[in-house]
Amino acid sequence: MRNRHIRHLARQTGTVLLLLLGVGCISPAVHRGVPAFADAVVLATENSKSAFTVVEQRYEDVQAAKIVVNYEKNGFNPNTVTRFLEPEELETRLTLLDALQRYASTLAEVSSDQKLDEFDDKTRALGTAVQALTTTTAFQKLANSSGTNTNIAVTAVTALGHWFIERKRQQHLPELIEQMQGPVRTTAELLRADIGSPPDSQGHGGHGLRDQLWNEYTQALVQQIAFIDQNKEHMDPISRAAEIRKLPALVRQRSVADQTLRQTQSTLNELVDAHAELLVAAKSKASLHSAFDGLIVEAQRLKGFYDSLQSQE
Amino acid sequence: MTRSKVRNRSITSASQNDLHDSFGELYQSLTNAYWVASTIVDKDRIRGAADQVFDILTDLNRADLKSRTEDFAELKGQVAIATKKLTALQADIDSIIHNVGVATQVVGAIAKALTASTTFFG
Repeated sequence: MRNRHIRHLARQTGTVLLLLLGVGCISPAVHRGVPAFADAVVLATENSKSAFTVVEQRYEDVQAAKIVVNYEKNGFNPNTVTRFLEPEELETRLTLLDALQRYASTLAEVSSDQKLDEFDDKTRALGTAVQALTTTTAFQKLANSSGTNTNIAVTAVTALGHWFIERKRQQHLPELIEQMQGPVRTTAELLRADIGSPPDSQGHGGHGLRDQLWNEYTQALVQQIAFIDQNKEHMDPISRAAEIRKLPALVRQRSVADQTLRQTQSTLNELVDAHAELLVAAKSKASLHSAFDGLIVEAQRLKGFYDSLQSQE
Repeated sequence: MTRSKVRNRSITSASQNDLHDSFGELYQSLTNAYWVASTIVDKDRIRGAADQVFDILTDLNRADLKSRTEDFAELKGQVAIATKKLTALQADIDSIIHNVGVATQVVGAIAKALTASTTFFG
């Protein structure tokens, strides 16, 4: 009689579990996609920060080169040493990029399977504690229970907990991700505008960081030629050749650095698309395609390039 | 951002672009002349002018970036609000997990109390 009751209870619990797990879950693709999106945000925002750093460093180098070639004539005046961007201008951008990273990492934490795993660990501990309780002599005297009943109860608690967690996510995540579509898109647009474009062969159409960096490299070439002209009589052939070799290297670096800034703009575009896809997946339970992987690989490659540029300084 | 603010900004931005293009063209001409100048005197003269134009272009690029700083600052607030909501959701989920942890502690304490009472009262 008692066994039949337990079997009936187990069947009922199984049905309830299937119903609970089938209703109100956000797509598993979102669980997997959000951490990938968070990684992509970190890389794209770090690369955007590096774009500002590279321009600032090159500006500093050009100022130093200019001081060197003009030293005989002008000497040195500390007031001529300036930054390209005022610290507060840069700070506003860095703060927003950090806020975007926090949004992405919190989104990843909330939607990751880690929370469910953490919950499972707790219910497992609860199961062990209940099991220990039912085996005490005092409990045996107070109530008639069994390990099977305990397992059913703990399984039900686990399923209920999963359902509550998933339900909360399903209720709030699509709305939150939707609210952030605008800010993520506008941030990317503003950053792309900041990065700008280089001048064409007529000197037209340049603006932003790409224009600035292009001109800084051109200035570096001008100062390097002036340095060689001023000192060529005092240089031995090897030192002179080494200084001259820097000229074509600067021309190549100018192109490569500009391409890196251009690709940073592209990864920002892809980030907006990825965030839009995340919303589609959260709403429709559709699977996210592997765009995230491509975005991360590209952003990592750019990060490597920025690191190499900065280590050259 | 209001429509008139956007329109004013695009007018400003169009005239800024024209100004930028004019100096960009001048800088391009000066540097092109620098590459082909043959005497140090000529080169120094051209370099002096190119340095000045470079500084003007730098100022224009600074102004261009500065024109967007306010928009960046506005966005920061919107991102912070969304993150705050996410943090509240995270706290809700954590409290579900925490409740199971508390239940485990309670069950453990009951087991301990029952074991102790058995020792005392048989």
